[in-house]
Amino acid sequence: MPEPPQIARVAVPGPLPEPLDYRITAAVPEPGARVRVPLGRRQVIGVVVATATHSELPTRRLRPLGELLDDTAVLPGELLDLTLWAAGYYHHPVGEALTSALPVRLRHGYPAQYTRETVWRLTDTGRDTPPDTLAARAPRQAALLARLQSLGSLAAAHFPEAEGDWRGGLQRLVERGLARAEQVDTPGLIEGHDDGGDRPTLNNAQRDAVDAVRGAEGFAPLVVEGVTGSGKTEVYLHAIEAVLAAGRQALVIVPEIGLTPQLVDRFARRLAARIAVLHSGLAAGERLDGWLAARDGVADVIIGTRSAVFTPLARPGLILVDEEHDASLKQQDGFRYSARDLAVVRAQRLGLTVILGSATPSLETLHNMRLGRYRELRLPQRAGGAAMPRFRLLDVRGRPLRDGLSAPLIEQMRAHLDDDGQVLVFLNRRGFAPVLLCHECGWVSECERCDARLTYHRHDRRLHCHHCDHERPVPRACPDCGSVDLRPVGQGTERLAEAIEAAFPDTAMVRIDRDSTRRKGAFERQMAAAQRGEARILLGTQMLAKGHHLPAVTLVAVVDADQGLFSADFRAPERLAQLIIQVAGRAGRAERPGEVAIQTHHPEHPLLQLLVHAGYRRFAEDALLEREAAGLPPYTAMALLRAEAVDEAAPREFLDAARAAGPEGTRLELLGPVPAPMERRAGRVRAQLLVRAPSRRHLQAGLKRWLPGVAALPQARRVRWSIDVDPADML
Amino acid sequence: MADNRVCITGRLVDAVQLRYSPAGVPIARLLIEHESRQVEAGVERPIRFRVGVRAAGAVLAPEAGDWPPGTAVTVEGFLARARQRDGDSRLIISAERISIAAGDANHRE
Repeated sequence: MPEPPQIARVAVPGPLPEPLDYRITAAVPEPGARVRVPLGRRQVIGVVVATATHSELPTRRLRPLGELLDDTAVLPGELLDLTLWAAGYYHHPVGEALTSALPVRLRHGYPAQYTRETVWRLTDTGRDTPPDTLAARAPRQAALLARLQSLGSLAAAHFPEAEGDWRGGLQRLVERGLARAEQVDTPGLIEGHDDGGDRPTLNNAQRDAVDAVRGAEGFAPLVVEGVTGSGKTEVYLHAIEAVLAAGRQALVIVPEIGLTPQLVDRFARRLAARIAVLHSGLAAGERLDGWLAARDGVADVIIGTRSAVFTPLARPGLILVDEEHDASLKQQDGFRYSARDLAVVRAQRLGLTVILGSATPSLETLHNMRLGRYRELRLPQRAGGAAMPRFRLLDVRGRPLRDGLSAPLIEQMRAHLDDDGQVLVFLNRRGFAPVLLCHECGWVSECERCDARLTYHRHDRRLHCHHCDHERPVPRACPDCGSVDLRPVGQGTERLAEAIEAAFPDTAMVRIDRDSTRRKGAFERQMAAAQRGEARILLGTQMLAKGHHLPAVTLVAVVDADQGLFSADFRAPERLAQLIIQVAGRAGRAERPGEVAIQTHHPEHPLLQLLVHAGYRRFAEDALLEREAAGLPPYTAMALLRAEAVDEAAPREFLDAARAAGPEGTRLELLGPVPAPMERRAGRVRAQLLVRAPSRRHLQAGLKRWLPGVAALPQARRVRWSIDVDPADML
Repeated sequence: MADNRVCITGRLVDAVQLRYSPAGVPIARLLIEHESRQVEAGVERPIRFRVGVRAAGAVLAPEAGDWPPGTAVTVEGFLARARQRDGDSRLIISAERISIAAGDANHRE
């Protein structure tokens, strides 16, 4: 008989790269179960990663395992392994990676249980008691009994706030033996059903894509590259229907900005399935409910944002990542994983189909398609016969701009409005003006803690830093020279809204950005007004631009295309091209043709020329050639070692030491250290060291040899440092 | 050394454009044309010049925006550099009070 395990390897929260060994004193825990363990002087909650018969440390030096929080694994083996793999790939402490994979309630030791609700049912006596017998002395109880007899059960949802003391009444019925109260698990799922609404007829390309998805076997990465408005969602729905018919679950991952009530609604009206929605706005209990429902197979379709990639699946059938190019799919702090890349890895480990969808696939994904790793499914036409929008570059050099709007743009807007069209105006900068300037001495409003200007917000009469949480009232006078003549310089959406109102005083306008939608439900209300066509001019940031179906929009105006043309980040052109195409995609999605007007000071810029005249795919092919020539991803692999500290010299000293510790015999190329593009942020000085290798494999091998030495550097204790593998954002 | 007082009468060259700073302070810049006869070294001679006036805060009545060009006004205040930038030594009057000049034929109540 094999020796029973003596040792539990436990991943504990904290910056420890490996799990710790603990002595098993009583029951043997299952890998994937939570346990309480001593760590220093504290008791923490960890996850058992494995059990073993021997430890490298002498048994007497091991501390004993504490309370077992789960009798069986709370985290299924597949998900545990995926998380451990991800911790290794992203070189992140294993305990923190596991923490990210668990809902917050489980992290805090709460039992793995659904939210429970009391449900009242009839007893046999209750079923046979005519309500009239109670009516004389207890009319409320009589009414409740009658309701129970007709409905079978009652719960809080049946009683509006105002309906008196129904709870007391039901309690009396229980005391009389007419009813009984039961605690019932309520996972809070959305019950979807096919409402029989008319389904759009699939065009040939859509049908080919659906057939390809249905015919896929084993691990099959498929890229649905569909121009905006080509009906990608319709393809998704068909694919999910096939998965549901086979009795399997579908996991759908969307960028934060794309997880809208409309999307969930569209799924719920079409799929006869129980749908769990997972995003950061949920209460801890709701999040746990959805997670458990997915794990137990109670939910059939799981729609979630980035972290949903770590949802346990009882019957996995399909993983789908929509808007796969979106930067928000990469976590930007802590455990810096890419939900898209992990979705592909997970599908591979599970032997599943994974669909990556986008109108503007990332260069990484295009590269994988060219290498034949991903299969391409193109939807080159707009669904329902809608035409692609026409582009027009508006050269604003030397033209007078009225708060950012040129006269030709105002004319074009007027033409569309007169023709009963709807106009979408896009400006990716909120607030009134990005700078407040003293007209007399040239002072500008700068953040005390960042290398950034404070944005002037007219509505609250305050200056906000968009990079840290600093804000303050607008100064009455210039702090340097005392002049009251302070002037806002540049345009944000708030200022543009005023300019549009002045130019079109009789036209209803709605502004959609993070400031105008701060109140609960405001975004939904404003979006509804936009979709119903009550607002004829829609002004907004990318919040408005991405993914929404706005069928009446005929003109999209990009007020300032120049913002992204000259960034230090090698990914900036790709992001700008994707953003322009996404925004442009709002134009002319129904039967009316659309136009896109782009204001720029650089109409001859190759990016704009290529994008406007040849389309995204041509742009992307050129961009890939440039990346290859410059030795940038996806032709090489990259990581970024970042360091920050209040002490100005510390980050640089740490990175210099890290560079000096660069191991011989690896293929790592270390570039830098250099100051971060925004050197000071939230009061900390930041610097970075770029790590490049010929391939991901070389990068992984090199990091594995290099990072333990980096972590052990004495300089490391004086900074906050992190490693970002496959960084999405170089800034 | 702290004396800095100016009192001058002149006609508005343009209508007054009133605007507000982000903090809500009313600000106007105006140009007035002064015309008078003054005695210099015992000789009376015509004096004519234009001078900029900056009016910030509650200096200007809200109805100042309705004063037509040519309105005669009396400006009381102090001299200041037009801009705080180095090397720029042009002067303007920073107004503490601006009122309709007595006996202005152009202005009717």
